[in-house]
Amino acid sequence: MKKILLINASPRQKGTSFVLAQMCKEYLESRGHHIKLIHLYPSLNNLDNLYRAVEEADTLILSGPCYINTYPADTIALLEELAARKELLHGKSLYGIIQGGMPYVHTHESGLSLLEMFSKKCNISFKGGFVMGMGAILNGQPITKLPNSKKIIRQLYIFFDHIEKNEVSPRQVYQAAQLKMPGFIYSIMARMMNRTIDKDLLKHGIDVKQASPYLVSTNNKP
Amino acid sequence: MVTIIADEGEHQIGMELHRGFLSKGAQVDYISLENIQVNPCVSCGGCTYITYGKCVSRDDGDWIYPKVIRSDVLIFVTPITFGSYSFKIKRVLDKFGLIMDRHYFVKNRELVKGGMLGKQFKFFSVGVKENCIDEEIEAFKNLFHENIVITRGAGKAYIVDAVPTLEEKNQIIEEVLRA
Repeated sequence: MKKILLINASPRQKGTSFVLAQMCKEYLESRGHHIKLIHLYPSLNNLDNLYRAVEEADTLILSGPCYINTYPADTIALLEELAARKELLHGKSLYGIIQGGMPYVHTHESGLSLLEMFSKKCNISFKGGFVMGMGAILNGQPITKLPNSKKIIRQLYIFFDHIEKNEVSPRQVYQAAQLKMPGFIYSIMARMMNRTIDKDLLKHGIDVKQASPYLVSTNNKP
Repeated sequence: MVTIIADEGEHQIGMELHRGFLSKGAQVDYISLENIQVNPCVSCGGCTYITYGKCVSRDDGDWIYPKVIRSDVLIFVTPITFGSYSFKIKRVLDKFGLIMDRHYFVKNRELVKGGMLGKQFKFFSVGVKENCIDEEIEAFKNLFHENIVITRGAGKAYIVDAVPTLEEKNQIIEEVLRA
């Protein structure tokens, strides 16, 4: 039995990063491991509980959203704090889960590099991760709502199994789950999503072409 | 207008670049993130449904984002942090989505986002090596490349030592002014 700490690095406590973390938790619990899940954002003002949980765990798993091609700023801050407390990290394994809107893994993979570089500098063992595209359209709903959900779930369980065995999970595991479509489909998707965005804004009485409120509200100031 | 957004750390590279631009008579603005508070993006949706195009959290973003919107070119100066941007730079970057075009486009047979409203997003990142391992430099360049792809942007990442040479600084300045 291993002690495993899952950190939800998303500001949203019921979003897709949490859904993935919860799936991971259930899988590893069913295999007899002891899992603790901590939400990062409510802990930001006082990380003491998180440090204690890190120290007690054998394995750390960070699940979070992709903001501009990597984890959010506060994940970087957390890693810096942990790097300043290397004694808490000794002998641990680290895995990452990152999910974002774009359907391609390359868009989000820098998140895993961040964890890998952190691990190298802190002398712990980064054992890979899972990158999932199209997380944004899920918005906290079950993974089964995705068009490629069967593939994703299959590959996720392969990833979870690597964690359970404390093995390295190679890139191919999540790459195989990526939705592959011919280029013209993306043009259709772009048109459909843009129409959805515009319709939604119109429904809320928002004029897409309005000037940025940042420019309007600061115009009169020197 | 060139706008430099710098997390200087223990150095003054952003400020030195600022001086360099001024000496060439360029229009340039300098924002140091020291003592700046930009609250985290908490994905609340307020920048869509409450104040469209503006964050609902009142902080230094209130004057930083207008400057970003008015700029023609941005330069980020950041200590390379685990192969990524620093925490302070990333707090500012994490909210760029709310001032950018939300629509999707297709480029090189892939879905991408729109970039700046009504103009191309031109930006340069200066990664400062501080106790960096070689792989971090590669990771930083990859991250920057992905930033360019997703924003349909144009620009370049530079890797400099804590004390860049005059030639290095001049090269950055000249390439930015040509962008």
